[in-house]
Amino acid sequence: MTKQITNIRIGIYLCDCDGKVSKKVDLNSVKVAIQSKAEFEYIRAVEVACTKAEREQIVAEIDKYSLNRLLVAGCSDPFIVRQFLQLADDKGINRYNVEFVDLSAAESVGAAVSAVDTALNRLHLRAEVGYEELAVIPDVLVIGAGSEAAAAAKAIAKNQPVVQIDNVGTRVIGLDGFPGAFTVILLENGQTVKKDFGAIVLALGAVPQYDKSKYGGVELGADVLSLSQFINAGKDYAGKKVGFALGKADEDSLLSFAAVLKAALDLKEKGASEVSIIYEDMKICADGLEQEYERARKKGVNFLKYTGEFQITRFASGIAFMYREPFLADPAKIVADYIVLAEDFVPAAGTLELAEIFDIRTGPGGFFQKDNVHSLPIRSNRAGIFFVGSCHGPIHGTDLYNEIEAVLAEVSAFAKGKVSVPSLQPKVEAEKCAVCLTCYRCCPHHAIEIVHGEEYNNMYFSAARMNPLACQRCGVCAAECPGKAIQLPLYSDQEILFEVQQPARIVAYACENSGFLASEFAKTLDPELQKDLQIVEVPCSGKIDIIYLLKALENGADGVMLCVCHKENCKFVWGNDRAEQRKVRAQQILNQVGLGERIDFVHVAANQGNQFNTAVKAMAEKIRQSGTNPGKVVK
Amino acid sequence: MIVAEGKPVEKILEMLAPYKKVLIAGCRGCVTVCLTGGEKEVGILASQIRMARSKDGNPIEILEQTEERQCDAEYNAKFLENVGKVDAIVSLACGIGIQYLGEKYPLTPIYPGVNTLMLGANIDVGRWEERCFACGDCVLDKTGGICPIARCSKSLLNGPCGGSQFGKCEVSAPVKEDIPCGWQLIYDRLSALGQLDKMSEIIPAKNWLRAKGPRTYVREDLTLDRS
Amino acid sequence: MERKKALVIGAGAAGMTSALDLAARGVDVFLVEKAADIGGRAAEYCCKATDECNRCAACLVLQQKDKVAQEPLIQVFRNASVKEFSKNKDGFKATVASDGQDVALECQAVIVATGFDPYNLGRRSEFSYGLEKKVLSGLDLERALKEKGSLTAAFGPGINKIGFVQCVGSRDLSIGNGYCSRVCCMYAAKLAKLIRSELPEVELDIFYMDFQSFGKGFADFDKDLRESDKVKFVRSIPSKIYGFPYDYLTVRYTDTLSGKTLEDKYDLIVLSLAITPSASSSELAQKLGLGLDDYGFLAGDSGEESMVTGQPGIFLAGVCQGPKDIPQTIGHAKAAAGKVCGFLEI
Repeated sequence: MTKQITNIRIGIYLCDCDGKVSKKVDLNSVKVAIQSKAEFEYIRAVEVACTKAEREQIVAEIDKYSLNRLLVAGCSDPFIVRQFLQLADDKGINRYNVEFVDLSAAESVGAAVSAVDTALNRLHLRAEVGYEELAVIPDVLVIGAGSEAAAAAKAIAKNQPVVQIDNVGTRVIGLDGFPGAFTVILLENGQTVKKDFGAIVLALGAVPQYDKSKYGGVELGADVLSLSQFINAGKDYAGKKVGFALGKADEDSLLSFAAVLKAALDLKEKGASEVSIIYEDMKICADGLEQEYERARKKGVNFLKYTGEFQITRFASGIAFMYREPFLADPAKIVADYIVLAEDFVPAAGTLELAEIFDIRTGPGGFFQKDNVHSLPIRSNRAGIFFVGSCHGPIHGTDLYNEIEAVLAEVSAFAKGKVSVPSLQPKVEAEKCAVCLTCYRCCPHHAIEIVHGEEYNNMYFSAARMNPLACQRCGVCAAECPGKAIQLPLYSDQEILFEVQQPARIVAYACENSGFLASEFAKTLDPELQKDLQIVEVPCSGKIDIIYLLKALENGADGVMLCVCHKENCKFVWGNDRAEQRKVRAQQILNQVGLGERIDFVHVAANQGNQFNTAVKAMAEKIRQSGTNPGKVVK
Repeated sequence: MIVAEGKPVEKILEMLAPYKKVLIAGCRGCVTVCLTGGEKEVGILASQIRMARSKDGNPIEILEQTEERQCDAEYNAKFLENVGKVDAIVSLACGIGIQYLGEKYPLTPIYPGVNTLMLGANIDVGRWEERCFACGDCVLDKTGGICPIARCSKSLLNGPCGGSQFGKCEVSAPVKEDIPCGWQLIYDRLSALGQLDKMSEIIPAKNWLRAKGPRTYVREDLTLDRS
Repeated sequence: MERKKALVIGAGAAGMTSALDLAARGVDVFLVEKAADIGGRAAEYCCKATDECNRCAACLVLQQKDKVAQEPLIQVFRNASVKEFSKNKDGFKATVASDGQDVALECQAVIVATGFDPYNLGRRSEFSYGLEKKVLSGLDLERALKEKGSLTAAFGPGINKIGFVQCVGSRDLSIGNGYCSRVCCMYAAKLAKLIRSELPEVELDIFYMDFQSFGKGFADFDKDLRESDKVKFVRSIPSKIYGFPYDYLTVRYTDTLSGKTLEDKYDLIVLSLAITPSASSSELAQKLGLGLDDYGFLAGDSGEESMVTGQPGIFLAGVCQGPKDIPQTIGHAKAAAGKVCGFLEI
């Protein structure tokens, strides 16, 4: 169990909201009831808590009674929430130690007292959350040789020191440490050297690759060039006819489209006699490309749209594209001196190796980064390691600069050499840590290290430790720990199991990014359904420990739901997949002892209130069929 | 590391049928590391048994306790208080721990909550593979560091046999997946080491008595007369 | 220590992102939203996940909305607009009218994140938008699906054929919109995919000129869309959509692949209305001394830093600067917040 700090001093403020609450519930009775049963330092009923005078008095009382946790029961209006959080912040009580109770919904003194009591218990169970001031290295390592890397390095260098390596001459062979203090092991002139950086930016770019199978087996040659050959050759094409083909390769990006438009305009400028571009869909959905397309048309570049297939055929007069044109009887024929074919883009050499060394995921096409909306364009699964440009999938033009600026915003947090972060990463109780590496291996963010020393009170003198800057607080480690050695502050086992001591008929463990928000939306659609439903919020479905499922049932729930993000949408890479595995096992555990189907696993997004309600109804139907839970343990 | 798997719960329920109050004893050693008998699994099994017994109208009270190592007497002493309160113990430690805890408290019946499987390596979360048979006569020097006893289905000292095909063993594994042929692995490793000549050395028959129990191992230089 | 203060105008995907990032760096934020609730347009979008997430990113916006509500450093002004704005030696002074009251604010930096308005078809009646209730905008469909949960719940049974019409107001030189709205092809395709997962038999046609989607794994997405989801692509922008006098919609178009002019019956038409500058942006630009680009979007630095404006201390975030999808918007807004931190030297 979580270690409790011994000097918890809670102040309780019962706010009448100018008489609103006491219309239904006598606040004084609430106060008396709480005084008789609960543990706290100070309690006061207030007429209106959100006045300046009250604010000053509360500040004085915090000092006088040395309060370090606050409970505010009243209207829960965002205004008062904000005011109390700020006031607490000013007094050094952080936001995690302030709890709000909405009394506006309470119908009786009993209901109000029990709501306050629950919140009070939560405050008692809550681990101390302090702020850690951490020294960080402002230096940033940019990896890549191309123009993207150079642009990134140049932009970051305005703020903080940058080292750029090409990963060819100087190569990364290892990585240690965490954001703010990475140690990169480099191979430099045959020597191994270690260098420290606060953050790493990968900007390896993508490389073009001609794939002849996309062009009916046509080999490149004197008059058939790949787009990159054409650009690199920089030959004089004055008086020549050049034809470009788009649409067979590089469908995933705009790079070829942008490059062809630029080349076509350039050719026109330098006196090519005819420039034609055949294409299937003219992809111009980036800043400035539509305008470039218009300009090319005005300059007399021929744009010819084909559908499906075209052939490349040689004639005496030159080489030609042939394709079927619906408005003409004969196939259309575009004859040119040179034809230029768009290529695919593939990850630059070294992408896969770096992904392995850095323990970062790759996605479609072998580029860096999973295709997950939470990654935005620039994030990896590890804090402090970012992507810029085509190494996470070919990108074009202004998108690159926007990405660089976004990365700049992230790495600039380290520019001052120190950061202050709430100490919210999971805490490990060394006595229980078997140093089994389960957490280390399950962590989606490579945020865990094994540390050694006399202070780790177990037979290994070692324990897992979560890095405050790398940890993203999903809680997967805590849920997987076989020794129950890991507790996530604000979501400890004690705190969560406390919620389900006397569960509703259906308990829904809901990810705060999806299921929980969906349930809030769902409430507005069908308030009736809430009667038998209890929502327990978790930071990620990966935090839903198998014991949470069983305990809810043991304590009398008839059904349990896991409301999780859609597949491939987990903010923490695989939290929802881990949750699904646990659901399967928990249901097996029930089946083994004949308790029936009682667990549902639901993919639901924040905006799917209807789907949430449908799932609740399905759960209700399922437990109607399975009957009342016979496994309920009477204490 | 010793690798164990949870016993089917119906077996455990059968064992516990006569009892009203039991202790489930976990171990923080190998069985925690192999995710079978640590504090977490103790909690899961306890919850499952409580629910099963409630369903049958025969409620049971379960104490849960996990200590350092059940294969050491000193740690087992910590169970004293709880053992005194219960009718029986279920141990989630390996076979050694179960017996040793039982020896410590001979008047309380003890039951196994796990099947002890093997000496294995944790390949990745949720997967373990056998690496050692504890045969008492190591031949890894002759086989490129890969054990033919543990990793060849027939424990052949001079393999492979005719059942090795495309690097796989003809024996289908209990987990229904291909078993790599141990001797293929040895061949590949020796080949990589440039020691293929070792393949043609005949390894003489082992003294299997060393692999048979009951075995005792005594270091006279370390034994301590405490009288 | 006195906290630095920033004004963020607009509480949609961009404004909320910037506000949260600034708050995380210890900046006090005044977040001004013209609507009654924060969230912006994307908060009304539906989820387009089928058997897995289809990466529409609408959920991110609701997550931010929840975080903003819990962030003590962000003060939200609803039903609010910037009434007066001036610059002084310490920064900026603004009068914000919120819920009918004027509030005077002082701040050292400003982020404009006023988003967009969908193209207003106005008196252009050739698509019967606003006349026929089964002619919807993409946003209408998103809202209906979000509120009702499914197409059938929103529009009843009997929807057998749905047409999506792309580029309504985008890439249209006749109205001076010489740009692509960037997001429509992908959201139409994802909506089609979503509808397909609900209604296996419904016919789904997309009228388009150049299919504009790209991105991670697009080639596979495209293949699935055409082959397993059986979405039909019609390379044409219809010339007329009308209902009267029938109980279905008729779409008249010329198929550029066959050259024939055709009429087809549809039960539902979804128009991908262009992303256009929000109605308030020119007035706001004037107040803040910002420039507009050729199409009326707020003009950022033309080159590498599109979030930077000609006014030191005033930055742009998101679609008010030009069309972007949600992840791009969030990235842009993060960059804008970063620029503010740099400007405020924190």
